[in-house]
Amino acid sequence: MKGLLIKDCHLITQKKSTMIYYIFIAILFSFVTNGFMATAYLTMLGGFLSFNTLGYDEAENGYPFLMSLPVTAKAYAIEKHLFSALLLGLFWICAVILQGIFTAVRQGPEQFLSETASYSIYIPIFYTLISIMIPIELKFGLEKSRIVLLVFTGGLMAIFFIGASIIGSLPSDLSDLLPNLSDLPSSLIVAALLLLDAVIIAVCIACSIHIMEHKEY
Amino acid sequence: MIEIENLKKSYGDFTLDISLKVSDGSVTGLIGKNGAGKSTVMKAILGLIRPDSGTVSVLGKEARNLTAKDKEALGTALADSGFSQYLRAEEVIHILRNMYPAFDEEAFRRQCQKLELPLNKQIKEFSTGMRAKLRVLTAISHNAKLLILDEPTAGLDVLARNEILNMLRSYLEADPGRSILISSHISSDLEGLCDDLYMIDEGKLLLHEDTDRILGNYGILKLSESDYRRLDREHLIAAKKESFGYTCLTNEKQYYLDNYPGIIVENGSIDSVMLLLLGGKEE
Repeated sequence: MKGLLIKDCHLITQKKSTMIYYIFIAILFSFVTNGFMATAYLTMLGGFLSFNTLGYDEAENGYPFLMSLPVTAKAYAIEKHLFSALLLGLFWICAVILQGIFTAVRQGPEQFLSETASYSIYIPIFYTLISIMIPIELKFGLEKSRIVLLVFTGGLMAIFFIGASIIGSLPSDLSDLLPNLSDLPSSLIVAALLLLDAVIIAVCIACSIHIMEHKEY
Repeated sequence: MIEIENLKKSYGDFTLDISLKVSDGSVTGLIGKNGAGKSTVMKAILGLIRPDSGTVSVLGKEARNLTAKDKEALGTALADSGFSQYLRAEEVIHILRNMYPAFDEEAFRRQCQKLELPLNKQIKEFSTGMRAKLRVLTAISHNAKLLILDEPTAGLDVLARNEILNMLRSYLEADPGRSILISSHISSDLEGLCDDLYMIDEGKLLLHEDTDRILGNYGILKLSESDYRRLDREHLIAAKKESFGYTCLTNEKQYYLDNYPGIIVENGSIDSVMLLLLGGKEE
């Protein structure tokens, strides 16, 4: 797996000029917007750069050779999720440091410390997103996965709006049975969301492994 | 090293149906025209496809169950697949160093220099010959017991092909226990390297024979219509109608030389055998 991680590190550093452009955009964001936007941008960038390595692997029929190297299909799938986590985390840390510098200069270090905790929300959000995208890309390939992702996103939005409208149309005595979120302690809500997130990520990793183990090259 | 028994794999109209064996310390060639099924055999050996039926055993294990550790003993060069072309040879060295405990970095760098492979150029900037050399060099760089080479010399000029064949000869000389399975549609490459040959067409095995026997015992008979009629055809494998009469393939050239002094008997070659087996009517 170490060899695969090194391969991916080399792959993401191939387009140095594009990287410099992205970093420039991040710095610009930090100037003109608040720290949240710039942190979100950089964290998301880390996730998408790691995701792009799948495209490099797939390009020019790369999979048959990669799978003939001393790696198993399972190890390959796990490495992709691990690499995403590492890169996303690294870019988040860089973003926080960048914001720290800007906020400390503009508003003082106390303001930065109070904001840092809230920046961490981006890690589970973007990692879940990338975790969902990886098995879709592994299953459908670079081209088809874009369409599948669009359909998937549309489906999720439809479920959300239909669910919301069903809850809204429930008789008041039935809707009273649903827990009022504002009454629950925020720590419980955060813990529940993180648990849900962990379950989604675990399912995505299991799907990626299953896809790779059953794929033919 | 490799044992394939009754492997069957279908893709639409195409069905591969083959048995094959590569012994320890031997070089086995797989020859056939484009689309004959050579790459499918290679993929089955590497566990990249699931057979519909039959077994594929590599280094004593089912191909699909090879672990990462098992795969360290394999060296692979595939015709249309390799490391991302955005990588540089220097980066390939870094990757291989962390993938194969037995990777010989010093020898790899030495060979790169000898073969004029630039370390700091992206692979996409390499010529076809340079890419092929890098693929073979990667396969032989980590003390593999078995090389699986799919068309390693395809599309190369005679000099580049010779360099690659010399690399393979050096690899074999270093340890007599090493084996190679190599596919090619360039018969001359296989003639000088392989101990035995499997000739396949449309997924089926046409011939399995020792290379020395093909070159020593096989012959092409050029016969008139009347010669063909009076000839003992027991040792003919295939015959093809021509304008002058018949061209026949035999695996007992000496028998016809001894018993039919008037007929033309040419030495067999892989190309002539293949041409007659593919185009001739079996006797």
